[in-house]
Amino acid sequence: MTQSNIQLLDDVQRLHTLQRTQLLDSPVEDSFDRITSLASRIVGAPISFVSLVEPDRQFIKSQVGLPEPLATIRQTPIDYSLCQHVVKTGHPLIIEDARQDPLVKDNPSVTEGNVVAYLGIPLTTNEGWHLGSLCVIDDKPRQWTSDDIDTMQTLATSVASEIQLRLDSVEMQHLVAQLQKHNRDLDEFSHTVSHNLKNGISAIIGWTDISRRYANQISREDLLDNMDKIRGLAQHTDETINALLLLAKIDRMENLPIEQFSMQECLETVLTRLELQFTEYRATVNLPDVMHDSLGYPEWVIEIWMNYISNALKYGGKPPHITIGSEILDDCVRYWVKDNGKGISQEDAGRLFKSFSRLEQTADVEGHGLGLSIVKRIAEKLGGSVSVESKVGKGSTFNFTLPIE
Amino acid sequence: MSKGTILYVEPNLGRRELFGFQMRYEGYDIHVVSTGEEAITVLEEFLPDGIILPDRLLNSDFTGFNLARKIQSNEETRNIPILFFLQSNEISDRLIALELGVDYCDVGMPLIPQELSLRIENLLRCTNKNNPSS
Repeated sequence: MTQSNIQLLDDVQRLHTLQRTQLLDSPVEDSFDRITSLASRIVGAPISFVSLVEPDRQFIKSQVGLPEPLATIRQTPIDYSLCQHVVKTGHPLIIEDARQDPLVKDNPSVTEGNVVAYLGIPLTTNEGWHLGSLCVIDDKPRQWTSDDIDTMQTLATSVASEIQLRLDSVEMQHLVAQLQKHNRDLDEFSHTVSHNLKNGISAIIGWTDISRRYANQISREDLLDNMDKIRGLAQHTDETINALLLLAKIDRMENLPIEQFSMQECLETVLTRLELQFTEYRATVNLPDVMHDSLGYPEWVIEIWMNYISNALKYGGKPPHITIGSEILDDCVRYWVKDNGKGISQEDAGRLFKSFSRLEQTADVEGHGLGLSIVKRIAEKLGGSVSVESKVGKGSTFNFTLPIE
Repeated sequence: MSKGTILYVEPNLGRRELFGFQMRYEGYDIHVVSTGEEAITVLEEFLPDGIILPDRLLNSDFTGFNLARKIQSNEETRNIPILFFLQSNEISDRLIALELGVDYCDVGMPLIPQELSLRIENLLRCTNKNNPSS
């Protein structure tokens, strides 16, 4: 017996696997009964059963020859279980006369019941968890032959395969459910994307049609105004498509060149790009003395800052006042952008990072509603995370983390 | 000369601008509001020749359909013809409109200016039928 084979009855992972079989407290089934019945017949022992061992009891999935009421109750307290020793060691337990055997002679099944000879084989999953045992029992002492042991081992392999099938099928159902959810999410996403694009294009068509219809009477000012509107709508559609392409690119990219880079330089790039907006919104920004560095892919980290900071300009206070900072946590750096906007309720904050969940669904606000989901996907792809802290009336702080090592 | 007065209720800024622009160029006097509450306030002050409502209203407890029922149940406003701008091309919405005896057009698709123009002309023709003296 190797030390590494020893498993605790209350090992969390073992119990989790046991639960996943969905066999505990399940009804009697032919596929198991056929094997216990064969075991009893071939080996010539009056009793055979399949036990599944939990820390406080053994459940009997299948049995032949057990006396009533045990045959109906189909479980015993753990103290009565000889199979527990098979599970703990992961090895066959071969007992000629339990009344003489130091391991089990005080077991109530032996002292109160009529268990005398016992042969139990572990039921082991592909992952190596011993979940229970297939055993045969005799009420008289008996020398188990190597044929008996071979037969039992073969039959136990069949029981184990049956159990493994159950586990695989549960796993498969789980995967199918996951895929179905993923498909539903994708459906919902493409539905929203299509609507978003369609609305923009419908409006472009509308403004073009109208400008044509009144071409002879339209004022020069109105005409120019209409063209600006068409231009704006087309640009918005273009930005949405660019955002979608970026999202797809983030998902596709593998083996990113993740490197140590200067966050200070990264931030400076972003602030330069947003200079016009800062003037337009008459915004002020508070920068930290030190910007901590982390690991990432600068081109994408710039996207994160661009999104957070331009959001703070658009949805922040009037005029916007933005504070930017960083702090070193255990194994990552947290970066944040704090605004002086009207804040977000807990409920809204929860769905903020989902695609197209812009809270104010009005055309008065520019943007395509994909920004924060881009931020989330980038941060997660780079091994970090995103979060928001906000109180209505107190402004919001948008965070992202990036790993240090 | 104005071809008539229209109360246009539209929560969506894009549509408000687009259709508002067209109605003005078609020669109507229009009052544009974005919520049901504002629409009620306007109706307390004066009676338009026609009303255009969306199927749903944002930032408000009641939908365009409910607003239409309210308008139809008020002695003062019951004879003002209504046109629904339906956003969704759903049969259930079209049926509600028909049950209310109200014409509709689908603004979810690009709406041809000519269609809108004709719909509004038809709408106001109802006004003239209802009030031959006006």
